[in-house]
Amino acid sequence: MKNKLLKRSTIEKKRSRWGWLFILPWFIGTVYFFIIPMLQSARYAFSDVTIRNGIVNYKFAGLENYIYIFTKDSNFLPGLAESIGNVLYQVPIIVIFSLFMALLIKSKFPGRTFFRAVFFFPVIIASGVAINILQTQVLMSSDAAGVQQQAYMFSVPSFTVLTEQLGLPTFVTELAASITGGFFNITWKSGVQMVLLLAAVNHISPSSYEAADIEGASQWEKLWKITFPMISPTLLVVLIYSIIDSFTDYGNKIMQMISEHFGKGYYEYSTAVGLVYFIVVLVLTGAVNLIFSKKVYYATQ
Amino acid sequence: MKSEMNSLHRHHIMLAGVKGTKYIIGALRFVFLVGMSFVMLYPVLFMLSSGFKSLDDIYNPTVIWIPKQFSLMPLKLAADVMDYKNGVIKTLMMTVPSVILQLISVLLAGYGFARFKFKGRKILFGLLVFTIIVPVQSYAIPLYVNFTRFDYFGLGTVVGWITGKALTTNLINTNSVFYLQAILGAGIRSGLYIFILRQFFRNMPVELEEAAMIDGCGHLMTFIRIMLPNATSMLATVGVFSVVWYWNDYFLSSLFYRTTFPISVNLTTLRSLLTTSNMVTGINAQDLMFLREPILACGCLITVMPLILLYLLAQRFFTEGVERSGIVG
Repeated sequence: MKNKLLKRSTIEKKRSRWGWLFILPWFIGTVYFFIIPMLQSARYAFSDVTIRNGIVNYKFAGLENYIYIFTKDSNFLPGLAESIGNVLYQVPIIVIFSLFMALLIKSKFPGRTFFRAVFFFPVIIASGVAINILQTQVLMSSDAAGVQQQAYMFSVPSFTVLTEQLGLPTFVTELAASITGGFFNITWKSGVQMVLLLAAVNHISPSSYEAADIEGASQWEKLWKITFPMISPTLLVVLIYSIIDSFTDYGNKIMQMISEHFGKGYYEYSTAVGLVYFIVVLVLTGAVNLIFSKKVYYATQ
Repeated sequence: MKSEMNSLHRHHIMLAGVKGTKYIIGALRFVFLVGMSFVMLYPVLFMLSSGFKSLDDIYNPTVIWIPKQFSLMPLKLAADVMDYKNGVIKTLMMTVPSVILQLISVLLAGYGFARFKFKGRKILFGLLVFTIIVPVQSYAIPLYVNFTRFDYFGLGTVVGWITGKALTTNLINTNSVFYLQAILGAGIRSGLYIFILRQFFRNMPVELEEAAMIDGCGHLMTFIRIMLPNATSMLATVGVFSVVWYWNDYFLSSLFYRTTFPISVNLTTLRSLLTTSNMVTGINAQDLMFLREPILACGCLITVMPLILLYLLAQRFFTEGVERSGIVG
């Protein structure tokens, strides 16, 4: 009995050592290329930095920068509230939309290869410099682009013109433009999510569905009892990725604030805001993870 | 008898109804997908349309989408200014090894997080999520400074205690900056890939692993022989993401390279050149004013084109891979 217990604990020890070995390269890299630079950069946030003749002088300032963020900076808290608000309404739409699209092109039908290829385009284009250039170009060339539309990634150039020519009242035009603009925006933010979910959906073995067919399950039941549980791990990634993506988007108020302060040379304040913001995001992401990971089905458990 | 006929008849009608709705759903899906494709293809169509317009087409108000006089001049100018050939070579030199090294480290870490219980796993996973959240911009300056005097993970400093002179190397403007970060799980978006793969490996059935262990495979062999072949679809997805993000990277490339730059950095150079100066070799100032948009569109096009071609080539491979990997489930 004692022997058995002993043996078991050594097996577990061995497993745990193997676990460490597998993550070791990542751990070294994270310490060296993330934690250390991050701490060096956090040092700014606790000091008054002056650069004179190319020499950086730190003067320890304690929590001064942090107190300023919460008491005097009139942009931070409203900006934070706005970011959280954006996440609350954007993320569910993005997740549901990308799931819908993935399920739509899952089954075999003519032209499926073409659509799959096309659905990867947002990933290729939206992650590069090209998107910035195209954004300004497209907006410049579409003469009817209103002020409101500039916030969106792409506007449909002829659409506003068309509704105006039909003689519709302006509020209809504006509403239609904002709906189509929002649609474009959501589509372009869902690229990564769609591709991930498509891979997950495709990985479900056809034999599970065949078994369900024999048992006489309906499409609806198959969706809830097979598809959702099988893709739930990827769905969790998609959810968390969408949250982080929304928080760290370049259009986000706080992110703009960080880069603005940085551009003006207030490194210490910029890093302090960054630290506070990213920790808030981490806590929120962790909470979402806690709530949803209980619902995730893993084959290993 | 009669009632049996009746029910059979009803059954037929029902079947026809099901078939009918199936066609309608199929047609609706097709229409919807065509609309979505337009949304997603729009920027590429825009680039193709405005990139090949000649000067006459730009003056001509009747030309909206399809140029009447096809011109390759904007393309040639864009390629010249962007030093396209060298830029692509540089991008490949950075991207290809980095992607391979990144995939290795990310697969190992994802598997480690998914399949093993060890002390500190939860905290380390929290750290992983934190690396996804914090953008590299917020620690780029110290990172850059550290690479100007890379001390071989502290070894150089230890050597310094003994010999009096620390062993450091300036790695700026070398590809090894990217390779080192990639193999150590700190490449571009590595955290996200680890998370994706961790979720994926966690969902692999235990029986597979147990069977391999009974056959005498060690943990590493189980990983290579059993887990990897079953992970082709996710591996392909992560691989393509990795290629795309390295290829499109602008921030790190402009930070770490000094002499020759990857193609996406050259694209921004092209843009700033076109917006700030009237002097571009091979074209006079007045024509340039009107050809700005076509030249920029061509610049974007030749930057993303290799990725699109690569994806079209790879797609066949990885949808096949998906269908073949039906063992799991």
